[in-house]
Amino acid sequence: MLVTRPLPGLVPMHGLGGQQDLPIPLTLAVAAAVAALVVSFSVLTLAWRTPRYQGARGGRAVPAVLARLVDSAGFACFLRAFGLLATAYLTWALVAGPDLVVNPALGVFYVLVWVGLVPASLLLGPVVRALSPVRTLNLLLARATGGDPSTGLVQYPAQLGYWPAAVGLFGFVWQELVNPQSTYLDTVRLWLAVYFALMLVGAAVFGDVWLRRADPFEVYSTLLSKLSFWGRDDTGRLVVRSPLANLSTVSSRPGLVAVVAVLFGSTAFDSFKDTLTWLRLVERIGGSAVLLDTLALIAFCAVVALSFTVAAMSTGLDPGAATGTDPALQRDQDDGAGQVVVRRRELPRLLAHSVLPIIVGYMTAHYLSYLIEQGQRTLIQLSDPLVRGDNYLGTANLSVNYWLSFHPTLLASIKVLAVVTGHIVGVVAVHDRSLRLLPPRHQVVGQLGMLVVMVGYTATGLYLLMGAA
Amino acid sequence: MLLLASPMRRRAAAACSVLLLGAGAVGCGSDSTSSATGPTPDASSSPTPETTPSLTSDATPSATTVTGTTIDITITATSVDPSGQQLKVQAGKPITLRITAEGSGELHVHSSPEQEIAYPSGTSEHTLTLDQPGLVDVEDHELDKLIVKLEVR
Repeated sequence: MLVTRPLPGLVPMHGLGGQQDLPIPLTLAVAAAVAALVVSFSVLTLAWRTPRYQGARGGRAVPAVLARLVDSAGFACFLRAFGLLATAYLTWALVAGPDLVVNPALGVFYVLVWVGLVPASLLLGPVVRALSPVRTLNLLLARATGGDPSTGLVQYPAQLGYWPAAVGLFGFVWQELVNPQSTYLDTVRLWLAVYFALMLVGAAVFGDVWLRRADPFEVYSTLLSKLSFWGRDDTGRLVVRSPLANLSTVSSRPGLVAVVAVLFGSTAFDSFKDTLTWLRLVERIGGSAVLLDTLALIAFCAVVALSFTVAAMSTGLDPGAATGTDPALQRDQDDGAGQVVVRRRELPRLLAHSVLPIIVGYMTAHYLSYLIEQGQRTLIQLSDPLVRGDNYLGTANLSVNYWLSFHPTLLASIKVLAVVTGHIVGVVAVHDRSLRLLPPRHQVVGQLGMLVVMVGYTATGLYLLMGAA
Repeated sequence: MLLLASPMRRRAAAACSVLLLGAGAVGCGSDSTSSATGPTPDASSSPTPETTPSLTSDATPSATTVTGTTIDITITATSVDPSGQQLKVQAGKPITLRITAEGSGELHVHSSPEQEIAYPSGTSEHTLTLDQPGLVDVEDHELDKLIVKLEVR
């Protein structure tokens, strides 16, 4: 496993991945696109006519034993200790380990944390909030100075919403996808140092609400946890509910559209940047590949944000709506059945949660083999943090199982299934929320714009998965 | 907002010192510069030439199917030929890379695991076998240019 050959400057172009998946077959992609189209209009015309998903009210209480365990201080402490220990172990590899692509710090940063948090949050709920080392450090700092971790010097401005997280997420995807030095330790060290600094100072200034709004990993994980079975009802009790009902409890704060656009746009860009079309275009234009990649990444995110915003706003509203009360306020008081008076410019963020399932479907398709195979490699490397032949965790002598890549038809089918499932969940979420937001006479036609855009997202995703050469 | 509780101030100060420590760690950590790649290449070199049809370098994006593939590659100081082509190859079948280069260098084969092929100046042949289905980029290291994208099936 120990290798001393110098790594060519080319590899960073590829991040950590070795080979990429084969393109999905055309027939499969077309079948999936047709299915997405049919489902979209079936939901629009045949599904229920009164909103079903009523925010935080519903849900089935989990068995008392489980609730007691999850809510116990000991359990929380255990998770915090684990998160902190893991961070310390990785900091060791990051600071003392050699600058090689086999340094596990890289695999943990790009694969286990960034990609792994998706399945972890979908299965277990808001995992980053429970494990986050910045949260724990903020807690310890507060305890050491006799303060309260939840209060800061000033109140967090509500209108900022998730905007800081959107910026942080963009910072991460730029580092991962554009920065040609992404697999060198220096840039990862710098990125993480800036991240820790901003999170801790922000938490000291605004209290830990800052971490709920600005920590890219925590915001991402907490949003995804809304597609898990785990939730809290309005009394804070741990409940299980259907992912669709859970999804309706996403808080539609300012900046949510930006967060969603960065997540979706960047994943699409990741598929696009390896196509021959793009590589040839960069070659033809000449100039800095970093600049062109940065512009393309911004363009992908902007196209998602813009198309979504326009689609969400393209609906009729009641004339009185423009002078209505603040919908956010009213929703908090009346979380459910009643028709809410909505302003047009509020619509994009009130509907933005419905893009999350589409993102998850596409991420699954895009990252599945990467997570499984690079994830295994990272687990093997973790035993040897300083890359000198150690076997601390007993995994050093295992080898990566490439079974999934050797079954490309199965892999392609899983990918397409994930994309279509994500699309269906997204369309149902839009439908349900539209019933709540839109006046009855605009409920069907008002959804059309969103449906068109969602079919567009799914079709584009499938096109990119086809290789788009 | 002017009434600042002192513990919070202290926490802000503590957070700032963590920032400084972090900045220090970044500064200290910049001593190593080289990187290495994963397992050893299983590409073998042979000096004997073979007569096999070569890749036509048309600019169409569609992949060309070649069986028992030999790929003729020309590398100059500034360019590679073919450049950015896609090519279908069979999994498990040996691929011969016939490289004509102005100077010595290294190809990078982005398979899993990654492989490297060092080539001398002049013409040389290298055999490469890809077992795992997928897309594999073959690039020149110094020029940072994509030569072929192999579609392994």
